[in-house]
Amino acid sequence: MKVNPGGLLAPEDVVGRDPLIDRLWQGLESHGWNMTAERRMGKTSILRKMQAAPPDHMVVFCFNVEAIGSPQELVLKIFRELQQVLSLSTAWRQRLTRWTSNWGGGKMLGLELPKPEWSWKQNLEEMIRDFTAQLASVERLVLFLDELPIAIDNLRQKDPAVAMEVLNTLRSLRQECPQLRMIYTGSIGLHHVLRELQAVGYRNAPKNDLVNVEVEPFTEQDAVLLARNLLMGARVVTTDSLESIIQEIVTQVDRMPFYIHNVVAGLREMNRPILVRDVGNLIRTKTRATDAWEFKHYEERLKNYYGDRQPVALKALDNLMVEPLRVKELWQRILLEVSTVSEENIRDILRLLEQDHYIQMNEANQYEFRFQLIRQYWQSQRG
Amino acid sequence: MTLISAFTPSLMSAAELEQIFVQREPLAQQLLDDIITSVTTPAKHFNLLIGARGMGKTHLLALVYYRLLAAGADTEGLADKMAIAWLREEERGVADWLDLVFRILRSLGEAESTAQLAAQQLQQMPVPDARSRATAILLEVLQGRTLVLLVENLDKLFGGLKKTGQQVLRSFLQEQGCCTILATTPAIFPAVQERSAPFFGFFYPIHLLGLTVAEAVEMVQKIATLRGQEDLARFLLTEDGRSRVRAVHHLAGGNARIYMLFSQFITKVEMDELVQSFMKMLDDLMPYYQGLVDSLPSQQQKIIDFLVDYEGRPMMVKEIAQGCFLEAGTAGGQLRYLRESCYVQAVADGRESRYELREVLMRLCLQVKKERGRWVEIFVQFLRIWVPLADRPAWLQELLGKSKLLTDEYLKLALNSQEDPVFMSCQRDLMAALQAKNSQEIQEVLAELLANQQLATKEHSDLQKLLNAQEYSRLGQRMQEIFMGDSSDDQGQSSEQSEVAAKTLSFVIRGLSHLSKGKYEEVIADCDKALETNQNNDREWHERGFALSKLGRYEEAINSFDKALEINPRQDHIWHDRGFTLSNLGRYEEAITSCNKALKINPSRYITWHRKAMTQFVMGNYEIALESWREFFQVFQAQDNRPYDVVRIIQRFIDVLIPRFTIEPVPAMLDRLIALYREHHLLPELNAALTNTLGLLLPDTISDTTATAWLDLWHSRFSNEPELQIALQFMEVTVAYKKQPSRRHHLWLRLPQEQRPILDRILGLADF
Repeated sequence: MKVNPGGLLAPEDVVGRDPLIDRLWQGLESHGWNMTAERRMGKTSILRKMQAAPPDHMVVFCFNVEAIGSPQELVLKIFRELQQVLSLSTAWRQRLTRWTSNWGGGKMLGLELPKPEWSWKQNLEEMIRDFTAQLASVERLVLFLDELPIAIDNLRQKDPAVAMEVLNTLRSLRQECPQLRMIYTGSIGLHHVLRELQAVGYRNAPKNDLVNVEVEPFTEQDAVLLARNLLMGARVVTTDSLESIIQEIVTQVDRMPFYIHNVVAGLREMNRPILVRDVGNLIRTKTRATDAWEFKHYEERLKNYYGDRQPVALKALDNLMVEPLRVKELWQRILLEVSTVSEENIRDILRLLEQDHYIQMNEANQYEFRFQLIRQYWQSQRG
Repeated sequence: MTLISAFTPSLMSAAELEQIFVQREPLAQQLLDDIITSVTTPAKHFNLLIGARGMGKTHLLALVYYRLLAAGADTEGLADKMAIAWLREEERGVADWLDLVFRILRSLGEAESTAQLAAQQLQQMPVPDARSRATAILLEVLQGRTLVLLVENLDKLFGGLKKTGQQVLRSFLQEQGCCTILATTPAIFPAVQERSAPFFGFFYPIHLLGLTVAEAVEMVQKIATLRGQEDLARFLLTEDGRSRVRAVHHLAGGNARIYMLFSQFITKVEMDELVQSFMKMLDDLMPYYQGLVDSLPSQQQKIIDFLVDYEGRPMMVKEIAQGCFLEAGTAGGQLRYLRESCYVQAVADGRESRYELREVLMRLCLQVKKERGRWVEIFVQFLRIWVPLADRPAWLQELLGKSKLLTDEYLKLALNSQEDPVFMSCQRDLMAALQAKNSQEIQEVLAELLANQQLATKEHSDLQKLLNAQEYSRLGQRMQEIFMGDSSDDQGQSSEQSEVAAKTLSFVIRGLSHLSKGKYEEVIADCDKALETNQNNDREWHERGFALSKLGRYEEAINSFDKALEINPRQDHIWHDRGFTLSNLGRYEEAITSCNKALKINPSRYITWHRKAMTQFVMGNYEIALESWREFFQVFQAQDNRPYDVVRIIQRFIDVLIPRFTIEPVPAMLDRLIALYREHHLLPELNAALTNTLGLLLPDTISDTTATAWLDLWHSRFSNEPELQIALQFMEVTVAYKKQPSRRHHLWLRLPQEQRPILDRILGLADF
């Protein structure tokens, strides 16, 4: 397998995600998903792999909507993609000839909506209704909306009401059309955007019909498999045993495929036989010396998104950096420095930190850093 | 006609680019492989080459481009699967996705009419329509092919696209999966590094390493060969040629462009002309750097100007703000921009950051422009003297200066012989490897040397085994037995040839013996063995005496010298060595008598005049010592070429001066002595010697007070001597470091960046 850090992977090279993909397909029979993950965890690769081989009864459309600046653009994007995919799929095109003829017969669109006399909302609703009406009850129209939180945030910054309306429309379409499924994905949590909207009066729960799913790091077995395949593909020669180097990589980067690709590429650049200690040195250089993976973002995100919670969130992480702690233990420690903080405040902040992938709860009900890489960075900067 | 462009390598032909390509072959292959994989499979690679201006980014990009074209022509079906668009450095004004698509189509249009028409079509549409249809039109032109996008200065392109344009590009790349990118940037920039940016982690950053000295030599050689300058290519194999490149390396780092420019000046002229050559190069670079500065907004120009004024010393934001009459916040903002665009770099000083110009040559050019070229000349002058000195280890100097077998004349004779080019080439490489104490290279050269000696299998195998085991001493012995055991074997060779061969091998063997542990003991054992068979060999007695003297066995050494002089009393260098050894024993009167004997035989032996002067100085006979120094300067001045060992001679004097400089009337005598240096144009050598001996101040045997007094002595008396400024600058930092070694990092920041590694090397410290 060829090392490709950050690039687009061929579907057959997306390893370690089949159980999740199976679960997503199964779920789509009955509900949509709100898929979250840290950046570079492999969401897009999963979507591309799913798009490449959907079940026969599902027609899948994948949109990266991060550049959307208006609802009209969203509708146009969806419309064009539907047209393009249908033009490529003979089977679905033949099934959906009525939709194609109703919606422009494959003509190239300009700036205007497919039915310019209607609003964007009406266009979207009618387009989807019309599409799903032509599907059998067991068939599914699946829309992957990649980076939706960014799109909604873009809209919110221009006009919060429009952002709310888009979320509401997507939600009501799912309710109205039983064959319609959506997967929202995004690296910035939709919860942050919703909190901003709630601050200006939004009261709906526009994703309460979607089941949350998080893209986790690889299992140990998959991470080892990926590291081995990449090392062999890159023809990396090792002085220490290959197994020991694989293990070091997998452990040091928390089994995350993006970092496994990066580390193997870095080892390849060394152009010499590799020792186990090279792995640690490489990662230290990337995290501490140059912060090539920009872990300082995790400090700065607290400033940007946590508002007045930031000081306590920092204290919580500073304590968890040393050892895993239960909520009460953590609260007691923070009380020594911030006497006004309540246990509920702490729980609220821990929930937020957990949603944002900083921390997780272990089997002993203690909170701990979710990723060793981030913990190491935290220790180097704030330890 | 051969075009070698230092600034626009994309104008060079594929063959020329290949011919002068060094260091990055594996990387070039990998990049090409990534592109071909992207063209032939659904995987898509995005590589970003990162390197400061002149590091060879465009050269590499252009080379990959031509190799891709060649692969397309050679591999069936490959060319039909790709469309190559190259957005060159000159592409400016890309402000959104539409602009980018248009530029891509225009670039594709250079090779295909459909793309050309599509670009025209876009231009003729109303802008909103063009914006809406750009993606579709591009996809139509591609017709299922993979777009290979080569982008120079991705940072600028992304700066123009802004976040919205970047988001559209990322959407396109992910949704369509039909594009691979190989891009360059002078530095990593926020749009690809920040987690909140659309392209975080998307590109794989490949930091281009600077050329090492060996790679720089290789490149300049290749350029010389391409230009048909074979004599220059050969010259670069010599010690002087390499030293010249090494001197430039201290200023240019690994910047490939500088070597391309310098290759025009590094002709086979004397090292003394390096300064003029270098100043000429700075003059040629001036419009380039001036243009870069002129393109900046005025506040940023002011900051650059301020940093140039401080001659390379990195400054803090508040100092810069004050010096430029800016608010601290404004200065910080402008510095951030200058940093992102690679004009300045930040160096940590405790918790603060200091800023300096990133490229040494840019600063030097701007300094010269601001009529501070004299300082630059002095620094290049310093490098001219210091680099060969640092390159040639003291043990080799001794070897060259002392061994009867290895005088410079012999070495030159051997080096200039054209009789056996392979042998001579190996020998040159061996000398370089010995100088560098690079045992792996020594191994390789010796292996090649042995392979060319037409030895019997048994002999070859013996030598190879010893070589593999790195048993240099035994290897030397065995070689001596094989090659020099019986001189009657040389019947087939002319006497001159056999002498050259003998001397060359002797050089090899001596070099090997010096590499081995306990080198002087081995020399003594060698001599003893030789003397067992022939007691009347003055050369062996002299070598033995010298080795004993080196081991501090002075009495025995004197006995050996006396034996040699009994056999041949007309050997001035033996009298000289005897004098040196006697003065080490404190027998100064006898030492002076020995020196006088040597000078009677050879009055032009300047080193003996210096030895005599030093002995008189140590005895406290300052006026007489000054007289001897006057003789030294006169004799030295009369030499045809300025001998390379003068700095070491001065260093020996500094060695004896340090414990005595506070004794009256030494300071006053020093004024008169320095006047002699000035009169005889030896201040640059004194500058280098003072610098090179700074390590003598560090041991605990020299108190902080003495070190400070040493600094005060030179500061108070010679701070107005421009040619001693480098030494004074280094001395100031060294004395401060002696007092507070934990503040090394902070103290080094008093020096410009090119001087910091030099001080490391002089003081024997790890890299800064």
